[in-house]
Amino acid sequence: MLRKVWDKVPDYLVWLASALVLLMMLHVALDVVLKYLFNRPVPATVEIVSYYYMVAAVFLPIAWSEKISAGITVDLFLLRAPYWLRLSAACLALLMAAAAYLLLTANTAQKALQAYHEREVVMGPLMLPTWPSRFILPLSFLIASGICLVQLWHIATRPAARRKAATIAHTPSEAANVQH
Amino acid sequence: MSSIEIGIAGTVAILIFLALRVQIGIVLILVSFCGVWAITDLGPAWGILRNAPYHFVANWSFSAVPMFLLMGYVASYSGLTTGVFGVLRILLRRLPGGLGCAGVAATTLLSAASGSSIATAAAMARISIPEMLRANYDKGFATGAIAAAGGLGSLIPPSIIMIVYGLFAQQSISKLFLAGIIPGLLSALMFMIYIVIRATLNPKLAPIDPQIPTRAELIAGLKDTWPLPLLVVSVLLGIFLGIFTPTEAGAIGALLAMVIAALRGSLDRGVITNALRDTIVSTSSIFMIAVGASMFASFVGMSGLSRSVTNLMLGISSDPLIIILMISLLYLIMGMFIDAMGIMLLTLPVLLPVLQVAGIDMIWFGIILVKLLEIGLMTPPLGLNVYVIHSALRGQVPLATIFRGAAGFVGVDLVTLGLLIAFPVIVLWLPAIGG
Repeated sequence: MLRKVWDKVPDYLVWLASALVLLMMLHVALDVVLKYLFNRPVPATVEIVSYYYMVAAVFLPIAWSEKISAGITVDLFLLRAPYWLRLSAACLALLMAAAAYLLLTANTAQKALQAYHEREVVMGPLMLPTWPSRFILPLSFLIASGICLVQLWHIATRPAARRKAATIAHTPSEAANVQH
Repeated sequence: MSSIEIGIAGTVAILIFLALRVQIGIVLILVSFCGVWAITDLGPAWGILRNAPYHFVANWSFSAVPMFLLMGYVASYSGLTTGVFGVLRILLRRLPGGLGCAGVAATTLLSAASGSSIATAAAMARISIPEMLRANYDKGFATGAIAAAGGLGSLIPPSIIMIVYGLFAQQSISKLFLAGIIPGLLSALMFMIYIVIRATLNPKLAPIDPQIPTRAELIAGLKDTWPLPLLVVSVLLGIFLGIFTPTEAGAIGALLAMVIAALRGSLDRGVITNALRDTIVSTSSIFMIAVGASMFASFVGMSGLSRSVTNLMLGISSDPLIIILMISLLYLIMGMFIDAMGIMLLTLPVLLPVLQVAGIDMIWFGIILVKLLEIGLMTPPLGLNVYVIHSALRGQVPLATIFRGAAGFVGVDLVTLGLLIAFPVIVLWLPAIGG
């Protein structure tokens, strides 16, 4: 049961981020229309877009990108490498990703707690609290590091996962489908 | 180790980890963190790590990136170019290689609604290449043309690469967008001239379009051409007249693309969810690299590496032309191995000081940079546009064939690049009168 939920977490985060990007589009468009037609812009649009929509759109999908291995990598040098080298490289990549995400989790969590204690706000047309959006970072990084560690665990315990990790199956074409 | 040695060791470590398939963003973050730690202390390293991600992303100017991505993906997924391509092929059908020229022209127009080369190439590959193959075009020639034209997605505004460059190099995004228009149109024209010349010399390469259009087809086609020009004109004029900020233009553009697609009956749930998902996954991966690059910039700054590279390059020559040629060579080589955004963000922290000292116009350089990155999208072994077309056609045309077909277009692009370097006025004229 718990495993099923865990497997679904990245997907939920992607749905949430998608919904927020759609909302961001509508919010900005509405602001433009109200600003030019009625001279009544939506208050604090710039701040809400920067501190909430952008932060969510960038960090929430990280776990999903890890789950489907959508991160941008240079595949060329290992394409013809022997199995053990490809497998070791895959483990190294996962370890480094997990390490970076854990480091970022600790770091941004500290900052988020500090911002919470200070009740951080941004001064604009409104006093917009920004501390809640600080928590999006440690949350996203923590889940992403979990995804990497679970993948490493699978590689250690399941032959199928080892084979999958060692195949550079997502040719650049597949990786490219999700790039800029 | 001295700071500069740490800087060099860090850069070498980055290249090794990249070759071992560690993600670019992760490598930049970890190596920069360790590098700053080694040069100073844990405190400053921890500080950079703590502030970089949030401050970098919580930024209004960067919010243009997901909006333009969304606009481009909606335009591509809902087939907004189909009508334009249909009419262009009828209009150009008597021209040698007319169908290929129609493909390039339609791609150019889609580039003006899409900020990304790869999205543009993928969309046009599905629309135009099957038609060319049906007309018995040479497979390499047909796919090469669209691989090349797809690169215009980042040269013709809007452009994601230009937004990120503008923010790193502190240049006006509207000016960069204006500067990209003439070079973009020039590139498209050069591709078409090349297609016509090759098709005239060897008609087997690009036979005349066998399909004789009926009047009804022409009228139906004309009725479906309005969406894309309407979208392009409203978004770009909005930016250039200063009515919209880039983010606002992107949001209005994305909404307009959805409304137009809905009116044409091509907007369904699949289009919206795919476009949104691609938008956020792209946004997220671009920004993870950019966050890493901003940390890398602090690291190379602290290590004194950028100062040494500046001195080294200026020691060879202080002539801006020689410097541009050296940088071009570097990008052409890196373009064979690393993706466009990665190359740009990896090199800018080191190169920006050189460019500033040499007094090189940063708007002009931005366009040269985009052109170079675009060429990198077609050169083997890692030419992403070629892979994208390969997968959009579901492997119908082998990779090697597409690379071979694209080679001629790379040559054409090098000529265009030479023109842009020799005559900076091609780039700088529009921003000068527009700004």
